[in-house]
Amino acid sequence: MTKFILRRIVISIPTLLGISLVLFAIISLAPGDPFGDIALNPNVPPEVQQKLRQQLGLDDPVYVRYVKWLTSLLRGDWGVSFVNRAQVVDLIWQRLPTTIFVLGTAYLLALLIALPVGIISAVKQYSLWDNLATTFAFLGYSLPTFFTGLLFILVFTVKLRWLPEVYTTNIEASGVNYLLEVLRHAAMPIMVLALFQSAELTRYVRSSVLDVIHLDYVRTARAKGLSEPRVVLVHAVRNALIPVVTIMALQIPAIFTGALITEQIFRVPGIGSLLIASINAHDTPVIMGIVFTYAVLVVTFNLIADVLYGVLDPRITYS
Amino acid sequence: MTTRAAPAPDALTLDTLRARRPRTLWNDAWRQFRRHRPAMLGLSVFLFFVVAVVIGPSVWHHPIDEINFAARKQAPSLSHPFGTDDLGRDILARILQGGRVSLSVGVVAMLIAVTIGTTIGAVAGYVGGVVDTVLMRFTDLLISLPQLPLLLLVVYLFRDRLRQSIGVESGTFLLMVIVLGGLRWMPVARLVRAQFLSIKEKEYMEAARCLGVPAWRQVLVHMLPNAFSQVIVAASLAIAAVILAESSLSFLGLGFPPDYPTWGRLLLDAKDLLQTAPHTVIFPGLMIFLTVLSINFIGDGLRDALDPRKAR
Amino acid sequence: MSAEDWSVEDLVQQYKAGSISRRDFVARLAGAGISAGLIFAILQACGGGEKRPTSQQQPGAVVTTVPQARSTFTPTRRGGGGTVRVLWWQAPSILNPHLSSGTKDRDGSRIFLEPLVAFDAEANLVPILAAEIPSVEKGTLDPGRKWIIWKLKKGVTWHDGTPFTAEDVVFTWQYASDPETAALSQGGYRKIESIEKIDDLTVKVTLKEPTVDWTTPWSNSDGLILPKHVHERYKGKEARNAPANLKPIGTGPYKIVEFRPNDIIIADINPNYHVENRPFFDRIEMKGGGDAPSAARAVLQTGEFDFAWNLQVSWDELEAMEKAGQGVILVTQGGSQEHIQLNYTDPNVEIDGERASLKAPHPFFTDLRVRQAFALAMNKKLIVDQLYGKTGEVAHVYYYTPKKYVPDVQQEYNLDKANRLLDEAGWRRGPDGVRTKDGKRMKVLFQTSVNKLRQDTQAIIKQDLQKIGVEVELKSVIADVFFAADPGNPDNFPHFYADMQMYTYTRGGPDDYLDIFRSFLSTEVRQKANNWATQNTTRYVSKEFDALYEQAKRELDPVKAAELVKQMNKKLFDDVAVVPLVGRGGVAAAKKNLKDTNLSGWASNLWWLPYWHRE
Repeated sequence: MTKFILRRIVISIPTLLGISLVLFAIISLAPGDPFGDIALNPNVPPEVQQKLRQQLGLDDPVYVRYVKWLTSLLRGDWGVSFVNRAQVVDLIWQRLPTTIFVLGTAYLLALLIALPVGIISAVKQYSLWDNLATTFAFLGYSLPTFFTGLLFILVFTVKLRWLPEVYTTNIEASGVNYLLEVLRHAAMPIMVLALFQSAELTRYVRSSVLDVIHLDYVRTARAKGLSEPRVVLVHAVRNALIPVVTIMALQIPAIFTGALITEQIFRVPGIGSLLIASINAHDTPVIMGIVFTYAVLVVTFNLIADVLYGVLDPRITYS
Repeated sequence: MTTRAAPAPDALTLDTLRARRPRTLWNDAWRQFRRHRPAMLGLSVFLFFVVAVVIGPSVWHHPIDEINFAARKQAPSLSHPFGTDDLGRDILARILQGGRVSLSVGVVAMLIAVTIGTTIGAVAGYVGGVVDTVLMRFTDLLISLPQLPLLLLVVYLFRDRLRQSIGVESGTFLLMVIVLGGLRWMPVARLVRAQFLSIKEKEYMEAARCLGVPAWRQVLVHMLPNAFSQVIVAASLAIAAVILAESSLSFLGLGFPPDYPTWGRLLLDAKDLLQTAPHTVIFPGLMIFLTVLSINFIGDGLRDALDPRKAR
Repeated sequence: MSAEDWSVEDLVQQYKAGSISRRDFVARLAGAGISAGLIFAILQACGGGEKRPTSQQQPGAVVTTVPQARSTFTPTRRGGGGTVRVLWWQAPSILNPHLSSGTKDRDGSRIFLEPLVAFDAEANLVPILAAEIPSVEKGTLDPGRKWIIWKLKKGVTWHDGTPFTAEDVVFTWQYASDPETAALSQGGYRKIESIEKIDDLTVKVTLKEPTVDWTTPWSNSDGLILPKHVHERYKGKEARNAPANLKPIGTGPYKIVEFRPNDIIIADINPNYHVENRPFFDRIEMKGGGDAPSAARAVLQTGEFDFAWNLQVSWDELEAMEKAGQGVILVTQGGSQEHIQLNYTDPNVEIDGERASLKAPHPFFTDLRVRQAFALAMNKKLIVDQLYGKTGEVAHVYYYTPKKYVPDVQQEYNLDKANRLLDEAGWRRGPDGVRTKDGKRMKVLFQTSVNKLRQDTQAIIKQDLQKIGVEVELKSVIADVFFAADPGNPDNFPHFYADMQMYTYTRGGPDDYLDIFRSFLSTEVRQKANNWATQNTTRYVSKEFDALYEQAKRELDPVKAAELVKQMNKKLFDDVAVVPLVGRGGVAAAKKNLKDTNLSGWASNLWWLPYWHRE
């Protein structure tokens, strides 16, 4: 198993390199210049702008810049923002906790909804409950997140005034009040994300459990006289969850990028909104930092998914 | 031999057997599909939408860009069933026109994704070995790319050049379908490859190989049709995903020119009017929602109907 | 709103005679397009320039600001007001105004850094770090306007305790003028020949040439003073690496606590602020991000924030929100103008790797009749009434405020006339309704930035242009790309690779006609050769205009200068060098209980921050 893991890690390195190369190339080709402001200013001689660009190595050929970026990355230096010379690592760290908090809570919520709903739905297939749950699932992931976001704002902020629209990380309160305020702010983005994710998850859980529930060993367990909950939860679901868990692991990177729009709408100061701001500002180091983080996440979770699959399903052995 | 009188309809004679329509797999699938109620509902809704956007703009009398300040932000009424926007333009007309774009982008992008994905998956699955590994690594690489940021970047880059060469609407359309389709073929490739890998080992393929059936014929005639049911399901879900992605892009302001009323664009325009004219938000959003929903139902029905494990 | 037939001299006579109030006088001049600095200069010439900000509001002929109640708030101690939360929906990303041209960054910096003086809404100069306003009587202002002596306020300290001295002023000039710094504020200092320190609290500024506009850069965000002892180490090339760019040290009412770029600024009260018993609030939080409509909602409806800036939202939406009763909309006129440029060159022909080049004149915009026809097709009144509401006024000339600069001209909206002119010019309608001549179609590409108001304006204009037989293609470019100016970016406004484009130019101060009219000088035409970095975007070339400009440059008498400005305005109007659309006011929103924001169109929204308080 360890050999498998090691081999996978070694293989992922060229993948990461490839990803970073593609991304860097695309970003370098994008029109726009972080020093556009200066060019507009008639008082700054063009030579100065040239010097600035040289300083940051903007005029070197693409492959040179890529190699430079890569070597500093390996040394742990993620570079500085073109815009304000803040460390890219700092910028990302300032925002990562918020994104993780919102996404993580949303995902947990989605799990808490999807698991029971999906399982019961599968067990009581074709019942009213099943139909309702399936409909809910369909509705949930057919709604675009920006639409749900807008609707939520319309209902909860504009009409009801219960929830604030602007996400603030700076809350002056303590203890229970603090918690309540935090929840109030995060409620809408979390609900929007959770709705979408729980819908998808419910379907997966349901179809996995369905696959398993008709199998012989489940019937045997029932025949043995075990109580229904035990049959379902201990025998069926445990096995059904294996593909679900791997799919969850594979989905997590997609969730990060999917949260981009939600962060925009609710003004959550997370990585997604930083990415959009830096794309607009042609701030290459920040863009590369964030996008590379995504790529690392994807590769890591792919690996985790494969490993989990091997661990959970004893039938699968990796040589 | 008895006389040649017409046999009773249910008598199991050669004639009755010949008279019955042959039961092909596709017929079976269609019958199964018909029994799936949400799927049928989805199909009818989707077909209705398609017909509506194809003939609607020619039939519905309001133009999409007639500015009329006297009629701003009106709630739905008889003359404007979906109301008007903040410039007095009829929303129903804009939705019908925009639907053309949204739906055609969805279908064409899906076709591109399916074509590329099937080709790559087939080659990888059939040839196997190094070719397979290389192609799969490449596929994994592309899957790992963060899609939305990549979309943003690429649209930035190429929109203007395409616009220069073939005009703004065709240029943007081409860009959208290439980019959206180009990022969706990977799951199809994986599916097809997995199918090919398992089909390759089946006895009938071994038989075909022994018979000396040329490779291309093996793939096209024997393997592909069997993989196809999976591809169809994936394709139907791909349309839904592309429509969602296109509206997200429009919502972020990228994509077609600002006066081109794609559904995502309509939502973007309406975002500022939540206060005074919520109907401007609700109708385009509902259109996206219902289209995607019906496609998802269709996909579900297809999956049901084409699933070989399901009893008929 | 047409200007009556008066000259500046008449108005001065009336003011001196007392038949119009100072407020009216200023309002008229401002409405005519004359900058506050020049108005101020005129007032000085009439006798009486320096004044504490007053607030008597009479219903003037031109209401350009929302009246602010006269302050009766006299605190007896500093602080105690809690936290004030402001929302800047474009988030600041750097806190050094010299290294950014974005208003958002300059506003963020304004919490910490201060200028020597500032203009209030009525063009009064208010001293901030200066001890007094220079004047000829006191011997601190050269009657020939070639030098100014600034006396600095005593007892001002930087946030780290170091005293503020003349050396900081000298340093700021050196810093901004150093070409290696590549400061975005450089332009404001160009006119300065030298600055010498006379003593710790006095500097003498010598100009290269005498100029009417002696108050800049000290009165705007180009002139925010930087601490020498902090930035000295990061001079020239190193300027952008200074940690103080993210953690500023200033003289302002608040000290930095935390700055998360593109997210939030948190600052605590400066216990040693140089105005007694000020500021009122203990802490300020400036949150950034999102868009204008949600910012407006956050103040006017949900009350989550006390103040929001730059609400580019259509007027009826704002009014609907205001009805919730939580806040008020504040409009300030600062001279910004949304205008449409018609390209004198052909954007579709490429010569030597360059489009929109002087070598390729535009197929139809070089014909005056065509330009006049286009101007006749712009329904400014409708656009202002329906989209901008009270936040805008119809503009007929380019430099439209203060009013003393505005000639008596008016652009009418008349589609029939437009059609006739185009017919006369030889452009006949083809079978599809689009005009053609010599095989060329009258087709225009009309570009602007992504912005709902702009897209709505484009739609209205497109419809009218179609009615006069023009084929219109609309294009909208994301703001950051449209306004970014690097030479390699074909989508931005300096390149003008389109037939028509629309955006807002902003004023650097109330007295900057020389800077603004540079955009029409023949020597300033943007071309590849100068990296499109000059000022003339329309590629308009006129010897007469150049001559008028030279005259205005040398004219020191404010009254005569105002006349020349009027003539320049008229020349541009007659030639239809540009089509002015809307004089845009800045729109902000404040919670009802937030008082004394005293917004000025000529200064940052936060310029009066130390005096803000809550009831």
